[in-house]
Amino acid sequence: MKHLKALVMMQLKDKIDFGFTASKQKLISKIVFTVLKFTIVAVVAYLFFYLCSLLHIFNIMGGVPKNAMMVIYGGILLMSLFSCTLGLMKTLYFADDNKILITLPVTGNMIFISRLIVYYVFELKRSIFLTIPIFLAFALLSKVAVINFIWIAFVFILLSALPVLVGAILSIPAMFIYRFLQKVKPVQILCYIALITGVVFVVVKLISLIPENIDLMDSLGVIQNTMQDIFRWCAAYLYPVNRIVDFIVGFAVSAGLGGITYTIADGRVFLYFALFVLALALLFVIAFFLSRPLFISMVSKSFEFEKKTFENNKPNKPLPLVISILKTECSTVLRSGLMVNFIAVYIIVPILIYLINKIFNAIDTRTAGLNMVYAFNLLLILLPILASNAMIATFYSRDGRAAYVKKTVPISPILPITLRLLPTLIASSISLAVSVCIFGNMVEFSALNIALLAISCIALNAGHMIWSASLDLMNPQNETYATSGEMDDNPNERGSTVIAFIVSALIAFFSFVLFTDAVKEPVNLACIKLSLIGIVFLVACLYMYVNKIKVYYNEK
Amino acid sequence: MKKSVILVICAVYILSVCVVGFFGIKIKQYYETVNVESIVITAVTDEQGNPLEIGETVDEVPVKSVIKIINQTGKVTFKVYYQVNPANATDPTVLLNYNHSNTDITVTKAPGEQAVIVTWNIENLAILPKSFSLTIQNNVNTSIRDTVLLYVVYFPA
Repeated sequence: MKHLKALVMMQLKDKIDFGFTASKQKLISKIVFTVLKFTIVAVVAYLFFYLCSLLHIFNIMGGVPKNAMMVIYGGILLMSLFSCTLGLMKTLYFADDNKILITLPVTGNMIFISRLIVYYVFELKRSIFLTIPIFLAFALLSKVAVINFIWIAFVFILLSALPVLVGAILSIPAMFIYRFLQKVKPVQILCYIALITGVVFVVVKLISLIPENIDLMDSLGVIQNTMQDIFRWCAAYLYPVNRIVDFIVGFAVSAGLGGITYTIADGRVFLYFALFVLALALLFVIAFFLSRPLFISMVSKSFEFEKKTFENNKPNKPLPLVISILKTECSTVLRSGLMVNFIAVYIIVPILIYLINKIFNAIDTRTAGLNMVYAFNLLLILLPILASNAMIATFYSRDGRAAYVKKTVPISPILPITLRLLPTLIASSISLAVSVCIFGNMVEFSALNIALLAISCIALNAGHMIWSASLDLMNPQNETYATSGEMDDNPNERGSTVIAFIVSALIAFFSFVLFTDAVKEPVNLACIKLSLIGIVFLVACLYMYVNKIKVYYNEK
Repeated sequence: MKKSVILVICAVYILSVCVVGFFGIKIKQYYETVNVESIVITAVTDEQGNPLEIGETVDEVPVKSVIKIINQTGKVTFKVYYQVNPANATDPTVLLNYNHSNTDITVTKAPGEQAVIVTWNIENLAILPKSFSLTIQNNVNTSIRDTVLLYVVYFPA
């Protein structure tokens, strides 16, 4: 037991900062922050439930029915299951520290159990900060007895183990799928594309369901019917979740106008809870006898003398200079984990612009309001994309000590430095063009105006990208990246973010002024002026960037 | 992107909706809807405009009743005055609820005033007394109503 505790603490210290235990002041601030976090979630959940109850969204009688909690808990459980399965798959079968843990004077079983306990602690943390406050808010609204509140807190101590144990079992097929996808790259890429396309399609479909005129009272009947359909479907297909919510919340004792009250003083609550505890024990046994042998066999595999074979070695082909450099720089960017962040931002921004314009369209705006819509659209398009350029302010420092290689290549350093920006520049330009097209179409701009605004946004983004790159070049952090690999507080990153906010805000302000003046003129003039501002900004950034590189790399 | 930056961007998104929704919204004149609270039958007069006494018939619920005594055949006219409260109600229009199958009786709204004219064609004095129930109800909320029972009684001169 002592060994197990030491193992768990060792792994937890790796993931959680226990620095707050060092001083009393830090401990108090940590406790206050924790209580505050819990309270905020509970208050937000209570307000949400109260509003739904007031508007009779879930139920014609008002209040929040238990079925609503089943849907909410089902969603949270699904997310937990997904994250636990993926996390446990990587931790149990692919984590590098397993090779260190196996050398410790403890049994394999203990390492396996310690891994599960660490995940259980994280799951319990998630329950404390998300699921328990939501259920407590529901209990508060349902005016249940005090014992119900204590029961909810107690039940979640055991409930938090459910996604961990199911995740441990599901991690086995997940591991085989993961290995298969790692081996067959085209399938992996296709899967990612299908997943992203599917998610984007569903989100866009959901956003398109937002009506032109949002009138909650008018569509209340439709909402209530849809809710009832969802509840019926969940009750039919999420039977285990339904039973779990039964013993968390209890059973209805009185129902009337304004809500339903629940009690746990019902034999079925304890019956379902006992069955759940049995199921949990069974899941632990299954996880122990299925996942543990696989875990131990994978961890104890020899790796020191493993020979890596490259089956698809391609012979080196001489390429033209620019193509060769472009290929190298593109590979560097695409292989870095940063590209995922960029792609995520570039996909999310057009979707958010579609959503925000759907909401703006539902608001009956006056002329000034319409000008605000134009200005905010530009701000909301530029802000996230420009803020993502903060990662570019770390591009060259991430090379670590290899950064000096650029100085040894017998060509002008401008070429390799600039070509590294190309993949992100192309991807961001596509995202900006799509976002501006969505915005332009929804506010019924002409094609010319849309093109001019797209030019403006692309030029501003390119200018900011170059500015961010020059920040990194002028104040390199190579040594920090070479030693620690990551940097939490990079001044270049911070500077780039501040510039992104200032540039976006200024453009939004100018666009508001220009579009307001354009009432007397054709709107095109405002768009022409905006595109000119963008081009001037790009040229100025480019000029400074080239000069700085010339100064920095000319060592005579 | 850092968490703090993501949070600020989210806040800007929410703020934009609030700003446009608050400062950019089209200004509209708001007309307060005043709902009808009650309809009261205030008076019933005969064809000469003489007021008839309103009594109360107690069955399951008390209902106003008016008795008109006649001594010869012909047309009998009642004018039923009603009041819609409050006077500034947005929609003071009323619905008249009565037995439409009775062809001896015609019911019309008096133009320009809150009154209903009931014209009763009495051809056979032998089958009197007869009653006719008229309910005046609110156009929107039909539970707001008042009813009067009109009786015609034959009394030889």
